[in-house]
Amino acid sequence: MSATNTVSTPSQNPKTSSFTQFFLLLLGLIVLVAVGGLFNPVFLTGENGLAILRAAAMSGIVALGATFITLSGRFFSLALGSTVMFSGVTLAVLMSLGLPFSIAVLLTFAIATVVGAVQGVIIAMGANPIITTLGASALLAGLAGLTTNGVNIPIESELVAWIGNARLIGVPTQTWAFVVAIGIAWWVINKTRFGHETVLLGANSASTRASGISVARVTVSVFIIASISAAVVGVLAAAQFSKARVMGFDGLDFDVVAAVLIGGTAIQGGRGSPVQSALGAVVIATIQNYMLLLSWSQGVRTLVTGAFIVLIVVGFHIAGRRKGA
Amino acid sequence: MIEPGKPTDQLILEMKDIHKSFGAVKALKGVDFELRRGEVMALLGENGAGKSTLVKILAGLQSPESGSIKIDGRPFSLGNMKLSYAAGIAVAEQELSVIGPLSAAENIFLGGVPFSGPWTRSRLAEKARGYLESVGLGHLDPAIPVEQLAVAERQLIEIARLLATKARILVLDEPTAALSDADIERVKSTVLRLAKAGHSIIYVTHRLGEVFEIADRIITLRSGRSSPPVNVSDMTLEKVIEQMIGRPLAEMFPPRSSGFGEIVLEMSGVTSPALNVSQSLRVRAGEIVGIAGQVGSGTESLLRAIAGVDVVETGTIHVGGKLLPAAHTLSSAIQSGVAYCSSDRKLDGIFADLKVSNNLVAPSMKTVSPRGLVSRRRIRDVTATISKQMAIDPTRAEYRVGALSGGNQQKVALGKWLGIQPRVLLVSEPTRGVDVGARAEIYGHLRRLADEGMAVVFASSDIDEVLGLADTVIPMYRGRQVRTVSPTKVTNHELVRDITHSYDEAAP
Repeated sequence: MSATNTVSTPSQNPKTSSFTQFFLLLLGLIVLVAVGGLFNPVFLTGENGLAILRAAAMSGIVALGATFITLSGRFFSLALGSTVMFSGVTLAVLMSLGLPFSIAVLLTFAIATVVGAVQGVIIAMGANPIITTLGASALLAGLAGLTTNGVNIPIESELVAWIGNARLIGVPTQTWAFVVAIGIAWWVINKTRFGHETVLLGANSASTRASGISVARVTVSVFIIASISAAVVGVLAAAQFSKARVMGFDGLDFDVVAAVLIGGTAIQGGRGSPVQSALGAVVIATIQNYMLLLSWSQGVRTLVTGAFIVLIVVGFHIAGRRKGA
Repeated sequence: MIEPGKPTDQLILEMKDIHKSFGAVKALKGVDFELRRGEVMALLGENGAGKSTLVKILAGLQSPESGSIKIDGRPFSLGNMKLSYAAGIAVAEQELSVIGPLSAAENIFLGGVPFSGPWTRSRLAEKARGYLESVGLGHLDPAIPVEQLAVAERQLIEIARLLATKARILVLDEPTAALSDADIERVKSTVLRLAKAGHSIIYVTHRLGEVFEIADRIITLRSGRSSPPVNVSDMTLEKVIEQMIGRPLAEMFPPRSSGFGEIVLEMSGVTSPALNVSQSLRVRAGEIVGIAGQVGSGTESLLRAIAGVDVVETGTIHVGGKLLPAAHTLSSAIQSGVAYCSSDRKLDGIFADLKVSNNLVAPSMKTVSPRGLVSRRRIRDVTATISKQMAIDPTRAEYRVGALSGGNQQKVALGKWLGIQPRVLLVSEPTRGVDVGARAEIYGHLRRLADEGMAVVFASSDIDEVLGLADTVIPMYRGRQVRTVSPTKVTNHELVRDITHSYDEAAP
C-alpha cells in the first residue's frame, strides 16, 4: 500500500540514469581494447579496428532499428534476420529481371516497409510481438526459399560489387553506413516528436493513449524502422559478396537482441537509446574479433560470447534493481 | 481458545511503544495498540500514517525495532510469519491473495491440509464446508474455481482461509475497498458474525461509515503515532476525521467563488456501454461539479463517456458550444479541450519511470515539437509554466515521477494537461492515495483552475470531498443521477443516503 511506497522512496535513486550503463560499457570497451592490445599488438592496428567496425556494422545497423521496437515496449522482432535475407534476395531477383540498381534498391526498401508495416499493424491490433514476428520470420524465409530454391542468387553488377567492397578514405562502405545510421537513429530518437513518443509508449502505453498520442501509429512506425534497417543490411550484405545468400543469417536475431540488451535498453521499454545498442554491437564484435585473433575454435567463441552476454545483462539488471531504477 | 460471547475487557493483544523506520523515514514512532477478545477494532489513518506497517508487523512481514508486544498478557515477540502464526494472528492483505484457478476448498487450505494421509477432493471439500459456512458461503460448491466467483465472494474465501489457520486474531486490511455496496454488506455481516463467535478482529478501512456500523472501538494512526482507543459510541464522523487529519475539517477546502461564466460542457441524453440510463449535465466556466457515488455507481463511466474513453452510443456532448463528433474518440475529445485524469494514475495518468518534464509535456507533444521536431526550449518553457502553476518543486524536475509522493504524482497527472489549455477538466478520485496536507493543495489547485475559467467535473466516493469542494453536487446510484443539488442545501447524511439508496432502512 502507499505507506510502503512513501517510506521506500528515499532509498531508491529518484533520478533517471539511463546513461550510467552506457559509460560503464564504454569504459569496459576501452579497458578491453587496452588489455587486448597489451597481449596482442595486432589487435590495436587501425586495420583491425576497421575490421571490427565492419563486422559490428551488420548486427549494429539492425540493432539500431530494433532498439525502436524495444524502446516502444514491444520487446523484440524475431523477423529481422529473415528480413535481411529476404531483402538481399529481393534485390538480387529484381536486378536479375534487368532493373537498374537504384530502382531495385528503392523497391527493396518499399517491400521492407510493407513487411514491417504489416507486422506493426497486427501487433498494434493486440497480437503478441514475439509470436507475430516469429511467424513473419518463417513466412519470409519460406518465401525466399520458394523464390531461390535454396540457391544463392548472383548479382552481376560492377556498381554493386564496388558498393560492397569500396573504401572511402580507407573506411569500408558498411562502416560508413553504420556511422551514418547511428547519427540518424540518434537524431530521430532525441530530436523528433516521433522519437519522444516512442519512449513515452514504452514507459507506459496506457498513459500514452490517455495523453492523446496514437499508440497504433507509433507501433507501426517502429516496426517499419526496424524492417528498413534490416533491408539496409540485406542490401549491404548482398553487395559485399555480389550475391544474395539464403543462409548465414541465423545468428543475426540473437546478435541484435544481445546488442540491444548489452547496450542497456530496458527490455520492458521506455529507457535506453539506439546509440547504446550500437555500442553493444561494437563490444560484441570486439570480443569476437579478439577471440579470432587468438584462433579460438568456433565452439569456444560462441560459448564465451554467450557467457559474456548473460553476465553483462544479468549484472546490469541486478545493479539497476538495487538502485531501484 | 475461541469462546463465543460479548467482548470482554480481557486484552488478547497489547502493543506498546512500537517503533519502525525504513531508512531515514520513521513509519511508526511509538504506536500503542490493543485488542480485546471478541471485539472489532477499527484501525484508521490516512495514507502513510503507518497502518500498513503495523499490519505488516502483525503479519510477521516486518519486525518492529523496539516496543513490547503481549499476547494473552504474556510477552511475545513478532517478526516472522511463524511467530505470527503461533500467536494466532492471520492477515488478509489488501491485495487479494486467492489463487484463481484453484478451487474454493484448495484456496481455504493453502496454508496446509487439515488432515494427514492422502488428500482427495471430497475430503478437502468436506473439511472446507464448515469454513465456507462460517463466512456465509455455505451454499457454495467447494470445488468451484475461485476465479468464477464475484470479488466479494473471493474476499470471503480469503477470510475463510484465515479461519482455517485457527487464528484468533483476524486482521482485515481494507476488505471492502474494491467492493460495491451490496457486496460490502455481505463482508460486514460476516465480520460481525465472526466477532460474535469470539474472534478478535482488527479492521482497517478507509470507508469511515463502516466503522460506525461494525466496530466496537477505534484506534487512529497519524504520522506514525497512535491515539488512545475510543469507543465508537463516543465518536462522530467529524471527530474521527479530525483525529485522522489532525486539524479541523473546514481548512481542507478552498473558499467557493461566486459567479460562473457561460456553459462550457453540455451533455444531453448520453448513453455508453457502461451507462444504460441516459445522462445529462451542464457545467459552466468556473464551476466545479462533484459527482458523488460508490465504486461501480457510474460516476467514473460518466467521465469516461465525456472523455471519449468509452464510446458514446446515443446523445450529444457540446464543448464550448461545439458539438463533439458522434462516438468521439479520446484524442478528438482532447483536441476539443477535454482533459481527463482517471482514478488510477499509476495505470494511465503518469509515466512513473520518466522524469517530471517528460510527463508534463506528454499531452502537448504537438506544441513542443513544431513540424515534428522537438524544441528543448519549448519543453523547458511548458515544464516551467506548469511547475509554477501547480507548485511542483523545481529541484525535483529531474526525478522519476514514480519516486515522488502521491500528492506530487497527482499534481503531475493533473498538471500535464495544462500544456494544452483545456476548457473542461475531468478528474476521477482527485485525492486517491494523496496525503492529507497535499489534499488541501490539490483542492486549491482545482479551485484556482476553475477560477481561471475551466469547467471542472470530478467524481469521488468521498462524500466530504464532494461537499467541501464542489459548487454543484450530483449523487449517483446504480448509473442514475439521483438529483442535482447545491452543497449548502444538503447534509452529509442525506448524500450518503442518496448514493447508498438506504431510504427504506432505519437511519442510524
